[in-house]
Amino acid sequence: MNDEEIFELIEEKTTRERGYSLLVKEYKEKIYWQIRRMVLSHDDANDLTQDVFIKIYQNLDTFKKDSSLSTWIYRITLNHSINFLNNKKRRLMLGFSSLENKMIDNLKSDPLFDSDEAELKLQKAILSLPTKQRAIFNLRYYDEMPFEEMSKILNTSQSALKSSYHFAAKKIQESLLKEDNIKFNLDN
Amino acid sequence: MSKSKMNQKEMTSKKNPFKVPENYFDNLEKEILSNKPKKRIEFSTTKILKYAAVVLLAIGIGTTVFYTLPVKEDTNIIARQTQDSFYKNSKIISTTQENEAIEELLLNQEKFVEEHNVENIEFSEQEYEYLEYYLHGDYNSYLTYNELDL
Repeated sequence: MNDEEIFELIEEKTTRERGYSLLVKEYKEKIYWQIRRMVLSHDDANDLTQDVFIKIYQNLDTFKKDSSLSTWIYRITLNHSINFLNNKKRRLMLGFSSLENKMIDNLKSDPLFDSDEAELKLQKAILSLPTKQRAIFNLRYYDEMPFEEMSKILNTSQSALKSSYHFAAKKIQESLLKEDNIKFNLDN
Repeated sequence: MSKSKMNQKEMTSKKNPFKVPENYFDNLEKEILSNKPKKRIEFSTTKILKYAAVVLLAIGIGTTVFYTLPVKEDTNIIARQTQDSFYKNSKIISTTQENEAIEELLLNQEKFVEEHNVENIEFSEQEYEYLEYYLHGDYNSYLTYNELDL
């Protein structure tokens, strides 16, 4: 069942609950992984995923069909993740680098993280990017999202996104090569 | 091939380094669907509770103001009455004490007269004058008078 069909079910009061169930089934993993790559911790990602679904459910009436359902959902997810990180920084009164260090430290002892040294270095390099650029990198590199869709989600031109992704990847490549002689292949 | 090239590790696969607990996504779906109506109700309930709290607070403040102000006046009246009665009682106490003191003084005077046979004492004119002033409670005037006279 595609997004349009799911939304048609949601629009109809009698089939709304069924439509929402299908939406959860379709998007639960996509949303979780998008959040997890931003916040790194499973517990935080779990809470935020549930928050995002509540937000989606509460705002289904306000969804306008001028964008696709997936674009709308990803936008909510991304905004929620970025807000969470910003609030965490503010709450802990930490600067950007301090929060990154804290996140990496937590990752080292996280049983739900593959403790491969190279992977840890890669995550560290990704974390060194500014939040929005990190989101762009994750969406393109891990989710292989087309720049066109990213452009709608982030309200940014495709050329700006391509350039941002290119610089992010280059920065990561340089960081890994410099630190541990790890060659990071970028095939996007 | 250079040594650095030989030691170079390659990261080619987009391996997902993050893991989730077993059956996590099945449970997540159940949790999301079971939380959804609850959270929605919670949201509206919270809103209603907030309004109810504001209304109750307003009623509470209104009632307190309405009932407290007259009670405050009454309290003031009672306080004034209590104060007045306190002063009155103090005066009574004070008058009683004065009377007792006078009675004691008179008694002492009688005793003094009896003991010293005062009736036979002869006083000079000046002593009489002093006694008169003394009895009228105007001893200071006597002194002044005498001083002037001197």
